[in-house]
Amino acid sequence: MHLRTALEAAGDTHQNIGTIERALSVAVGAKLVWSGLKRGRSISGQLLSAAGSYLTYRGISGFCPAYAALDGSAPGPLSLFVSEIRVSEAVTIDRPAEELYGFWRDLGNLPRVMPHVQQVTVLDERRSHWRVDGPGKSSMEWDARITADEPNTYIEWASEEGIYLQHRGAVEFESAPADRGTIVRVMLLYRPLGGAVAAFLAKVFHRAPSQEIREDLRRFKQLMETGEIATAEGPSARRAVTPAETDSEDSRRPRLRSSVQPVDLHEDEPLRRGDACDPVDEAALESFPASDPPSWNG
Amino acid sequence: MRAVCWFGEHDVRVENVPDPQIVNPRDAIVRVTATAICGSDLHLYDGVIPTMQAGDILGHEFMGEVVEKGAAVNNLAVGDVVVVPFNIACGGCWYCKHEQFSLCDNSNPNAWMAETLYGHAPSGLFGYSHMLGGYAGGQAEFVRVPFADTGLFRVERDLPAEKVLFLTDIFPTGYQAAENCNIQEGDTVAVWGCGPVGQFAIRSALMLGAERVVAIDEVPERLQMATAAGAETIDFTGEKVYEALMDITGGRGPDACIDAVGLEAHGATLDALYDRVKVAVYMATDRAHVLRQAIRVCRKGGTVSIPGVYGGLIDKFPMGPAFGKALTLKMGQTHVHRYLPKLMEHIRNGDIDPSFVVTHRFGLDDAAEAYATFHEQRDGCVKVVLQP
Ligand SMILES: NC(=O)c1ccc[n+]([C@@H]2O[C@H](COP(=O)([O-])OP(=O)(O)OC[C@H]3O[C@@H](n4cnc5c(N)ncnc54)[C@H](O)[C@@H]3O)[C@@H](O)[C@H]2O)c1
Ligand SMILES: [Zn+2]
Ligand SMILES: [Zn+2]
Repeated sequence: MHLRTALEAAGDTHQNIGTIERALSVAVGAKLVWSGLKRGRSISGQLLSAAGSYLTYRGISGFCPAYAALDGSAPGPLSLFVSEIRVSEAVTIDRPAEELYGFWRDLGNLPRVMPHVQQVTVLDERRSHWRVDGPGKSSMEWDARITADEPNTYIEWASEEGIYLQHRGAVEFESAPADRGTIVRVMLLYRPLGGAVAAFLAKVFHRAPSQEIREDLRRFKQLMETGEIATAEGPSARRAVTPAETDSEDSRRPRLRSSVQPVDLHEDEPLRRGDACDPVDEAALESFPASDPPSWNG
Repeated sequence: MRAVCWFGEHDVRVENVPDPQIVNPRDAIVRVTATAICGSDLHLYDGVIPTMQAGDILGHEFMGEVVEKGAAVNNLAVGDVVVVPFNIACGGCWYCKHEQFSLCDNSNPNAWMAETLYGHAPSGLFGYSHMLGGYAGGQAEFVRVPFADTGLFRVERDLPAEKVLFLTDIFPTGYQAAENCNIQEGDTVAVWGCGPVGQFAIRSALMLGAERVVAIDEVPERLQMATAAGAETIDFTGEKVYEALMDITGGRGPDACIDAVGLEAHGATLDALYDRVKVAVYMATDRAHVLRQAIRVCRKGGTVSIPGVYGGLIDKFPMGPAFGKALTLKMGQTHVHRYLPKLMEHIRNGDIDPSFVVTHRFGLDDAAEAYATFHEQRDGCVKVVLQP
């Protein structure tokens, strides 16, 4: 079964939280992350952030590992520790599928667009060895095997048995309508080290997998369409910041309000829906009273 | 090198910073010979554009000489005199191939920031916030120009700098604003804002065949400059804009309206005061007084063209009138690369001499004074050129 089909089949059964509770979970979770991040690198700050990330994850995914463990829909009481992370991200690249597939199938190319991948060594036609940045300054290594390979269309791989970071991944190349190029879709299904808790901590320590994949795909597109990867860096420029690096005090963090006097989210302020940080929600909230709320909505 | 750096609201300083270097194969380094301050820089100066960082190098209107080029730049030579579009475009993505250069997919290294706010990321710009790329700007002695093979346009050495400098931004911006009006025989075009962009919009509308152009502002020198181009004028402090425009057009309303003011519109009407309060308490970011006026007065089925910059949220946007009158709204950062060759021809043919707009010249070291002069419209200031 293609990974995509597997992901879609798995999708529904994994929601066990109602819509309202999910929204609340996101709002409260985001609030905690903000508060936690504001306390900087202190232990209490990190705990708050971790708790917040957990709630946010639960809200966004609609899956609560604790509930699953309680109501028996998960394999056992330890389900909290075996939760999977699923990622699916797509980008459209104005290049023929053969070229994109060709770059990707030559796995040694991948570190050029995936900075957290230090090295990929091709062992044989199907097997490869990966070395990737791990938590802190460590690195993680594993062997992977290509499990499906359809030239110019699809590549699927899986980590070899027995490693602590089990995952399956796939990349799909599909032509976009008319002259729009090729849709490249990456799907990942993985069980991070230590299961769910580690995944939530990973979020706090800036390894949100979907964001990372999105940035990888963006670099892939840049390299294929322009021959290089765009950067504003240089001796007279500022260093680029990744989404993960910005924290709530940082002026680089995008916000729609004035950059000069950023609004402070006070801890004792009542929670509002806008805290979930979706600009459209925020606009709907803040445009009140207006003639046509929400006043800014695509 | 010396460079004009942003440190906060109404705080720009000339600092010593490291020289830029080639980073990517398609880069070039340009030694800046002339650079200008744009009305858009005033939004940064006023601190209303998000994601600026203290120390950022400003400036997106500049020209100069190529002093170094990357290995992949084949269409230019060291020593070439070039003008540089303010948007950075890769030339290879779907948008660039469709000449929508300011929407380039590949030139914004901080695209994720813009995606957070806008859903999608526009192109990177020189010296214009981290959300739009975080690139060092051109109010400096040297600049690194990415994608130099699509982003640099060679100009003849004997053309005076002030004739070609504004090809980098305000001339194409005024031109695109007028072109977006789809001007037909007999059309009346109303232009809000007689700053540099408004001035080029007025002249472009006339070049594109407008019957009449009505210019709106409050600054006497700017209104005079509009009159000199052949526009009629309205001083919005002395007249009611809606009534004056309805009178001029025999009750039809202008066929097209150009908002060359943007998010910092002035005004003493109720809605303008309301905007000020909302912005002051962070309930909105943009003051849309001009936009509301334009939508109200524009004739049925007409076009509202918006070169003026908006950054975030507007309250009380009159969607009902826009819908009820079936208006066309056109807007966006200018696709400078698209217009540059054509407008260069107009300059060569003598159809227009863009240097008319320059009123003040400063050395780069006097940038702080130059910003203040332009910002306060002191001493008849319309456009400032800085010489490094
Ligand atoms: N779309 C683009 O690519 C692009 C490029 C360059 C500039 N811009 C934008 O165009 C706008 C104008 O730029 P500029 O360099 O001419 O700036 P500017 O600040 O010199 O000019 C603005 C003018 O608007 C006038 N004004 C203010 N409130 C008004 C009102 N209520 N009615 C009529 N006029 C009013 C001011 O008196 C001033 O003369 C700015 O918002 C700038 O950011 C956009
Ligand atoms: Zn400009
Ligand atoms: Zn492009």
